Amino acid sequence: MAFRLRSDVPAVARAVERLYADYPLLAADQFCDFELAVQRAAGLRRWLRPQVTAHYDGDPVFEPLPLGHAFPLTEWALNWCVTTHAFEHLSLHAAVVERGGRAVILPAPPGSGKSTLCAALIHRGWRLLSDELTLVSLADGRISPVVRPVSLKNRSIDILSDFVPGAVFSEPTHDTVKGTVAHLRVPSEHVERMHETALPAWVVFPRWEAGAAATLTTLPKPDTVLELGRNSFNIQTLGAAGFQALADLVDRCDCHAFQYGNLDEAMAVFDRLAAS
Amino acid sequence: MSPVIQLHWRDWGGDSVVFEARSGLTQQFDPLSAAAMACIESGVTDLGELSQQLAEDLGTQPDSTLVESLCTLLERLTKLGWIEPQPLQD
Repeated sequence: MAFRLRSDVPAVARAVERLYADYPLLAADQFCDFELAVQRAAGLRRWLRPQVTAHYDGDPVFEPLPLGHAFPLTEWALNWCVTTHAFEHLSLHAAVVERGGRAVILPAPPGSGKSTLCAALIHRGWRLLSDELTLVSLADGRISPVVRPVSLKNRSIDILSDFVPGAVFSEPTHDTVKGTVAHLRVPSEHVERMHETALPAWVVFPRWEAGAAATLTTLPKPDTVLELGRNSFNIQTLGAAGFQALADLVDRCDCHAFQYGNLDEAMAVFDRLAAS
Repeated sequence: MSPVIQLHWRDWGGDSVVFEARSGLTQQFDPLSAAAMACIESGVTDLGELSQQLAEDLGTQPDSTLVESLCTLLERLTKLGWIEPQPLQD
C-alpha cells in the first residue's frame, strides 16, 4: 500500500522524517494507492487561529483542525484512506501482531489499552502488522499488514517510554479529541517485513485495569463473532462475503478476553500463548 | 417469513450466529431459537405447528414454557423484520 503525501506544514515533515525514515520511497512517476494533502487552511484561518486540512484526491477528509494537530491528522487521514478502500478485505478496528507465523488480533474500543499492549508486544518478540487496522483477506483469510507508527495517548506515552528505553516518538500533540497523542516509531526490522502476511491464530480482547492480574479467559465463538462484528468497519458493506470471512476467522482462532494491569505480566501471558 | 430476507448461518455446537444480508446485522440465537428459525425457513407459519414440531424434536409435549419462549422469539423476529405476522383468517 503506497501513499503520496504533500504538506506545507513543517511539523508533518519533521514527524515523517523521524518516524518513516526506514520506509521505501516512491519515485515521482510511480503509481501510488492514495494521494493525500495535509496543508494549512486558506483565508482567515491561515493567520487567525490557524488550521490544517486533509484532502484525499482533492476532496476534504475531515473537518479542519488546529494547525498544531497536523501530524495526528495526517495519521488519521491515512487510516481513513485504508478503511474506506479496503474492499478486498474485511477490516477490523484492531491491532494485530505476529510471532512464529501466527497472528493475534487485538480488537478493542479506544481507551482499552490495545495500542499500549501492541506497542509493548512489538518490542518483546512480536512483529507489528498493524496497531489500528486489521485487514483480513476475503480470498484466503490471511492478515495483510498496514505497518505504520503506533498511536499512543496520554499516560501510555510515558509508560512506553519507560518500557522501551530509547524508543523514538513524534513530538507530542496536546489537546486533541483523544487528549495528548504521540506516535511511536516502528522497529526497522518490522518495516522490512511489511509485505509479509500471516494467518490468524488468536483473537484476544484486551482491557487494561489498574492493579488487575493478567488473566486470559476463553470466549465462546458466537460471542466473539458478534463483538468482532461491532469492531468491523465494513462488514455491512461487504455483506455475506464479509460475514463468511468473519466467521471463518473466528472458526480458525482461539478466542479470549484479556485483562491486565502490568505490562511485564501481560508479556508473560503472550509468551505462553506463542509457545502453545 | 419475509421474502427479502437472506440469512447466513454459522454455529459451533451451541449458540448460532446468523447474518442477515439486507440489513448487514448479525444476531445470536440459542439452540431452541435456531431450531425454530429452521422450521420457519422451511415454511412453518403457525405457532401451534411450530411448537408441536419443536416439542417432537425435544421428545416432549408442547407446554406453556415452550410456547412463551416461542412467542418471545416471534416478537424479536417481527421487530427485526424477518417475519410478517399474518392476519387470522375467518
